[in-house]
Amino acid sequence: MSEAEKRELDALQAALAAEHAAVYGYGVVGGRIGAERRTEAQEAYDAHRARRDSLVREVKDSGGTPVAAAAGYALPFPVPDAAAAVRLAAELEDRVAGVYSDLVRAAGGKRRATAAAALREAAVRAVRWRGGSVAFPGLAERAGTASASATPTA
Amino acid sequence: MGCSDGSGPDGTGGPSAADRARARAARDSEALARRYDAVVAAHPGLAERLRPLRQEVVRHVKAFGGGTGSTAVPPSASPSAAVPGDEKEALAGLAAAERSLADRRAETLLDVPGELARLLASVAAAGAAHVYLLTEGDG
Repeated sequence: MSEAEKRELDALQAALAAEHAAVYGYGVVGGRIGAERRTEAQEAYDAHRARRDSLVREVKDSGGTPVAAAAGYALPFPVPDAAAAVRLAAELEDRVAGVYSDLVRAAGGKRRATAAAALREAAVRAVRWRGGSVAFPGLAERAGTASASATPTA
Repeated sequence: MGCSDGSGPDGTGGPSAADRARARAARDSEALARRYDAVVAAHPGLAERLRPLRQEVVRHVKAFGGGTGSTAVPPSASPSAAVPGDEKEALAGLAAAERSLADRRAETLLDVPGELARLLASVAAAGAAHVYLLTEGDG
């Protein structure tokens, strides 16, 4: 495997790990979100599951063993209510946007196009949750503040 | 792919395809910022809502290496399309401009080196987010 292929596989695995975390995180969001935004949360959950499943296939196609979901994830902050659930959803999208921007850089062709589309979707969902935009979705080095994220605990 | 100026082989002393794509991106974002200015000039009531979005567009110009003055075109030199008299239509026009630029960048990023592709993808995503903010409440 060439260096470029290894970088691409690493970026795919990072995206997959982030989607595992997002699927877990949206499970938490769904349990706390207000009724008026439950459909939105469900749609996001479904979208992340679909991305996760296609990334599993991509990793296998690239000769890798897909990273598994962690048994549990530490949330970036406590999520006791609907307002915190909305903040968590926005954080999850920020984190996902970050790994897809890296995948855009590492991949080419169709895979790069798919990663760019996933980045775009995550950025739009983040704005819907948060109500405001950021100048450079997915580019932590250009953000004012580093984004916290759900991290595996196991 | 979606590129009309058929990039020739590099190494001829001219700017590389990536340099050209970057300069084009800076010009496109500058033109977009001017559209925001035109809408705000016609509809001062939208100024507060549009200010953060325009500021982000200006940051995009700088990220692509533009806005240094050498390439900046004064607003008067580029008569933009007439701004609709209706606020909602003016916002819809801005949203359409943001969307078509984001779509174009999604194509351009397939043909440039990784680091520029990553920046283009992020800025295109920001543009798509702007479309949402410009049109929310219309549904």
